[in-house]
Amino acid sequence: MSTAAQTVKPVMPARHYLNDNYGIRSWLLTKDHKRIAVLYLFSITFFFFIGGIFASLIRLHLLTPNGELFQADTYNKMFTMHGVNMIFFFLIPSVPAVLGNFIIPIMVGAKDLAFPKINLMSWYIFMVGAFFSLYAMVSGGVDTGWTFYTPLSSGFVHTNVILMAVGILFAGFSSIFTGLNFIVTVHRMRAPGLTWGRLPLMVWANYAASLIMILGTPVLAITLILLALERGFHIGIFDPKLGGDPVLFQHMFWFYSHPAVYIMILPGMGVISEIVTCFSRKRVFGYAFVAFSSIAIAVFGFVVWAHHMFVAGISVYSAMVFSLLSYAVAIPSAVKVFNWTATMYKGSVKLDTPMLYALGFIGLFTIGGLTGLFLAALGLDVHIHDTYFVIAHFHYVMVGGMVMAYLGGLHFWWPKMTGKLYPEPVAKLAALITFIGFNLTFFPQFILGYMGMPRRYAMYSPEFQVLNVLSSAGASILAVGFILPALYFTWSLKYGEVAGDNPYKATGLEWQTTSPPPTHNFDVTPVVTEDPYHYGAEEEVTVVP
Amino acid sequence: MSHSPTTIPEHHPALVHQFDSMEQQREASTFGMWVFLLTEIMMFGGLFAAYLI
Repeated sequence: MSTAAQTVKPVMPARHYLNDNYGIRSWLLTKDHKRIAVLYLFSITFFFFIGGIFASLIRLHLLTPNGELFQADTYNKMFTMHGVNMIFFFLIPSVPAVLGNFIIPIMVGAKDLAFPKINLMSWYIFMVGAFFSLYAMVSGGVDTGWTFYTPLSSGFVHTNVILMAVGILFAGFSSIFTGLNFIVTVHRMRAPGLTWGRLPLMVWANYAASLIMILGTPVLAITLILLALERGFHIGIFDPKLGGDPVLFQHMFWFYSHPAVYIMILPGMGVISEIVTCFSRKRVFGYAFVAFSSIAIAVFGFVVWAHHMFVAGISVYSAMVFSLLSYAVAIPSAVKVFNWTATMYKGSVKLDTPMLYALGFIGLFTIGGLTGLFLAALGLDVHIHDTYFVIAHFHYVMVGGMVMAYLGGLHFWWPKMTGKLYPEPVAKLAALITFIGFNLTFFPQFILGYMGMPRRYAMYSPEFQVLNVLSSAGASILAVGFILPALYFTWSLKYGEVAGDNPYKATGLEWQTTSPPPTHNFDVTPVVTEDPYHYGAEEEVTVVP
Repeated sequence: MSHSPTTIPEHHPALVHQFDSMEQQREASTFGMWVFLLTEIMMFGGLFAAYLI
């Protein structure tokens, strides 16, 4: 790291990936992974807010026990489209396709991903999927729930199931291409000296998620194709009336969709490893354990799917095995949480915005993960399955965990992506508002679920109203927490201070290049001679005139 | 962290910008094709499994 460069006020580099070329063509035909990441950023932000609008409508509707806002059928569409949007068009591409796309080639010291054209194609395929999905939404919607359980989806509903399935199919292929690109890049394009034991944990986590993307997503693809064949051509696969097996659909759907949870959370865990080490100024505690816990989560993630089906009529013996295996996932997850905590211990912890999100992640993911164990317990699951307890559990993992990690990562690498600093006090306030709003929204739902309020019902018993009002109030606070970053990030593009190459004095190859980086990432190919996270006593002193 | 001088690109017409050498490019392409075949196995494996069950 150069100290001389830090003693003067930072200036934007003359040439970087944002000003290398101008015009809409230069963006739509780009093969630069950084520009494709930006395209993804705009696309998924759009879908995040669409999904957020559905969420807001759901919470508004649930203010009163009888639900004054929608008919029951419309309510079914609201939660289905919220789920589909958030999972397939926001959460799954969030960290890998935006942050991963931008940062992973730089982290491994490469000029680009292995297959830049496939990378661009993945965005186009994503947008085709998004078009189908949006069209399905505006032309009547879908009301099966994001899980598309058969035979409801294949024979009973009259909504746009096939259109939506096609949209998700395309989005799935886009994620396969991203995963394929990451795996080949990590295997074949690491800089000289960057051994597997020196890879940043963000790379390990995205590598593990990529394994799931390439192994799991094709199974979802074929499941949706079979669903469409049954719905469109009455070929009996899942519908008992046609000689099919409805539980088979659940097996195939969850074979992908449970590991998909780890596609969503693993890259988030990678982000947290980067942030915690940087803002604790310490090496990560137990690098190998944190790295291999990502692989362990990916592997275990493939053998736990039937815990979604304990009450769907599977045999009690297989249920016992799946229950045990589901408990096993807690081990690598706990390794991560303990190691992040141990990394912070006696570190010089600095509570900058990314670190606030990381701390939020650690606490909320722990609650989300531990309540997952409640659901993995066979006896308790009979009581709380399909209740708001499940909703609260997975929102603690997906929003409290993943969205926090995504926002933390976006704040962490925003100076790298744009060369500009966001206003720190407002950002800290937004992180705090998000944390408070999130807990107020979802903690009451644990209680509601435990008391027996079922999920996916348009109305509820009057005794549940107080907690539902709290939850809806929390959602409005949460919305403020999500809108604020969109505003100040946009503001920072024009008015933000110039960040400099390494505003956090972080280690890692991405901080060795300029902010924003040049199109080919590095003027000279870096050679790695040290372990990652070599934060230590000999920290450089910054003198700002 | 140190830096080595930029690798001098081999002026092979087929070498694309993100790779340092033809060998790296060939290895990446082959490996990518194997990974793609793996996804195909998962997809059609799912199809045959559904048919058999």
